[in-house]
Amino acid sequence: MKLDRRGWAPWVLLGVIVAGAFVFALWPRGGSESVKARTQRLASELRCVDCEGLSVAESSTTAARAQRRDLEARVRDGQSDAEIRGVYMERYGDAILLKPASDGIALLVWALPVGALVLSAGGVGLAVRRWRRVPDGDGGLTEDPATAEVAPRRQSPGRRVLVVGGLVAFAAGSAIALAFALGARVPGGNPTGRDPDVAAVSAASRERTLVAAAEARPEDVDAQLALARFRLGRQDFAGALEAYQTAATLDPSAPEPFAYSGWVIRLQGFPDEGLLLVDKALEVDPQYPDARFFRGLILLRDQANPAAAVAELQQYLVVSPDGPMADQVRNLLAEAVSAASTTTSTTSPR
Amino acid sequence: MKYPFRWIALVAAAGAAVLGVVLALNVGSDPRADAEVSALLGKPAPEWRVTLLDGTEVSSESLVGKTVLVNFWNSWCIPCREELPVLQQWYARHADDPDVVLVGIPRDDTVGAIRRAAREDEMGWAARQDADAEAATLAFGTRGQPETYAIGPDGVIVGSLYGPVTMKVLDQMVARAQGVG
Repeated sequence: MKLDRRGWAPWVLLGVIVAGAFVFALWPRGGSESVKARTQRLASELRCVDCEGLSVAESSTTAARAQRRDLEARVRDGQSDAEIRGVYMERYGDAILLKPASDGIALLVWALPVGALVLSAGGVGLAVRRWRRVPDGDGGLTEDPATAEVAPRRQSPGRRVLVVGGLVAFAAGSAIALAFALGARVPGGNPTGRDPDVAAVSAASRERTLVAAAEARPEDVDAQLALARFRLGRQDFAGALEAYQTAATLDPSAPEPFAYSGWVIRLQGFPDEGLLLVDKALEVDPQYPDARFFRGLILLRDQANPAAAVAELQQYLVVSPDGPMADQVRNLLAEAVSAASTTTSTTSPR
Repeated sequence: MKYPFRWIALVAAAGAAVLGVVLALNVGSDPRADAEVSALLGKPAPEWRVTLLDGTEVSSESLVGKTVLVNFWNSWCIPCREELPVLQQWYARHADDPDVVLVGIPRDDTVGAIRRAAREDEMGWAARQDADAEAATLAFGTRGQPETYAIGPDGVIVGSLYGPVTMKVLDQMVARAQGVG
């Protein structure tokens, strides 16, 4: 059989492409990384445990910051990547890794796409090999006349395209179905898994959208409030405070920015300063229930003034008896009443 | 083009290769897979050490042989406040039991807020918010607060709960830790 070198060229090229792709994917990265860079890389591989859709590297929660410090200490201590990942998997389980491990059952995650690829490539190869045995009149494909003589029938060009297309569809469908079945998602990107509790859009991309909206409409207090509420929900206190304060500047007649600025400042460990802003919210709107709640909580928990807290919490129930915090207010109220019976109050309610 | 179908096959296979590599690089694990049960359940508890607000130092080492309930909490978390009466009642009930210990480790709070809350609520089991407490929250793999872990006398974690505890849950945890549940 005579080999046509030009006919083999595409296959050699294919081999180079495939080999190159896998070498790129599997090539160990690291080596001379700095401590900071290695910490950052490891943090980007770990899931933030108290926020959604973010890695430890991306998150600003207290837990994520503590984890980054822990990672850096371990890197400085000379622990290997595998040892560090092992510690975190021991504590949190495999799900702490944004990408699955590559051993045990998790190996299937990596092996199945490769298997689908090999099957489809093999199928394409077999199909082409079969076509080469069949003369189709284009004068170029028949390289083995002896084989061609026993070929059962002629393949039409349309059929060939159909076969190739089917194989590609098989490969793509297998890989995509696998990715969905395993809850695949790009770290920091949009989740594509089936878990209904996972937001359709990641926290990072949602925050980018809110920031973009706030920047596009710098005079829009609602855009600032949306950003502030989102950041507060993620315990990004500094970011929330910044947005709330911008909102307060834009609309000094709105109680929410003042009340929540005060609450955030209290959460950061400064209840007295926080209370000043909560008071400002009540100056703006004495009926704003959230401010009543914050004031009652600060008086009870931080200023040891249960008598004043009782009045404040009662006021909440007057203005918002069925409000979202009503149940909690009733519990706090009972606690404050009990405490007030044994404590002398020196602070008067507003 | 002399071999058109061979080139079609090449492009198809190369596309499949690229797709396979891209997917292999981007598949991830289920973010909620560990949302119900601690990965430490059934394993030896991690080493930890904290200082209670009265200055007493307690650690995994010093409590070997006792049943230990470790409760992660903070002053601003609402579910933590919800479970507080249960913990107060349980603590009072076991105040004279030398074989059972409750330790409250703060998570994600400030020194002052923890001190105030613990003083006001008479939380004799509460530890300081400091570097040791932060190390403990990492060592236990906490995801939030409140979280409660039961450690048996042999140092193995026999129970864990994410969310506020009830008296029934605490009693079950202790019974399991002591081998009677």
